[in-house]
Amino acid sequence: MNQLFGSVPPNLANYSRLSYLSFDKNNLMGEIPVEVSQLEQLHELSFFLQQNAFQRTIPSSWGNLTLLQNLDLSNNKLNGSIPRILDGLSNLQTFNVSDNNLQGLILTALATRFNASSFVGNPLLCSTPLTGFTGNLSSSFKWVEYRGNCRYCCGRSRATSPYYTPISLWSLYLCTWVEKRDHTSHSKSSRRNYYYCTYP
Amino acid sequence: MDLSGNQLSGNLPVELGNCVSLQTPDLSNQDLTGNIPSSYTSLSNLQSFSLANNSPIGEIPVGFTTSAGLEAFSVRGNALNGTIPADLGALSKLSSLCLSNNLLSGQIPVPIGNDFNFAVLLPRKNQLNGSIPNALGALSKLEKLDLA
Repeated sequence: MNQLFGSVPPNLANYSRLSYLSFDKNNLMGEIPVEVSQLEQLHELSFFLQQNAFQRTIPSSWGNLTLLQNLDLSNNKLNGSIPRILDGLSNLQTFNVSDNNLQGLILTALATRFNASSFVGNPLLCSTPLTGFTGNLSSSFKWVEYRGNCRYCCGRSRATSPYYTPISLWSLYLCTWVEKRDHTSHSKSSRRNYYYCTYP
Repeated sequence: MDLSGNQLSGNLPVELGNCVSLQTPDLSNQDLTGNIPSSYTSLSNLQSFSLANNSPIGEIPVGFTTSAGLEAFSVRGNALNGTIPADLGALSKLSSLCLSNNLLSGQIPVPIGNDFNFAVLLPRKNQLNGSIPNALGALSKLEKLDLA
């Protein structure tokens, strides 16, 4: 595996024919390249920047990349919120911002287009219950994986957890920390932690 | 010369370097081993060179600049070590450089950024370190850049 470090050259906007940009699994840091937002005319564009140490925020200007098809920013150190303008990325087929330091409410329609695995691992990221988790629960409950997105946006707690810090950012939801043994045969993990949310 | 997909084995023949009129030797998907003979850098009429998916070891020889017309160079899927020869950046017609899945180490040579015809630059899955040369940002024809 390559172990490139440092920042990404600032002049990537010169790549007027680019379709595939992959820097994943290095030690790159600094800002993710803002300049590529100028490549809005490019078709079938894919960015794979996961598993680096990119910091700061997701550039709002990336909302210009309406033809972007694949975007993976997972496993970095990105903070700030997910820009709502990313809703304009209507051609996205894959999207992943899991395991960063993103925060705030997921206000974008991306939350309805992609399931929870695209967002988990951002402890300060809040959302309505995300799709993608199934279980033998009544339809009024939806599961949100423990690593992710619900714990700080819950109003009240019905159980305690050392990880639970109820901040009433969003009191519409009651979240309860539970442990749910995963009996599904395809999962190697025998025990996973979940929150579940329901309307009060 | 397309020899791809046979089951040729043994060391890469040094004598191939004598066939100076070779233009597009394709030795991919064989079981060829040994070092890439430096005599191959004498193949001055090369347009493409593929040794993908074999088992050669050692380094990519310096000196392919003799092949001024080289457009595509692929040694992906081997076990080559050493560094990326900086002189590949002097091949002004080279548009596809595929080095992925080897054991290449060291830095991406800055002169690689001098080859403005690069469309495909794939040093994916090696052991490269150092920073990304700013010069790579000048490769305006780049379509695919994979440094993973």
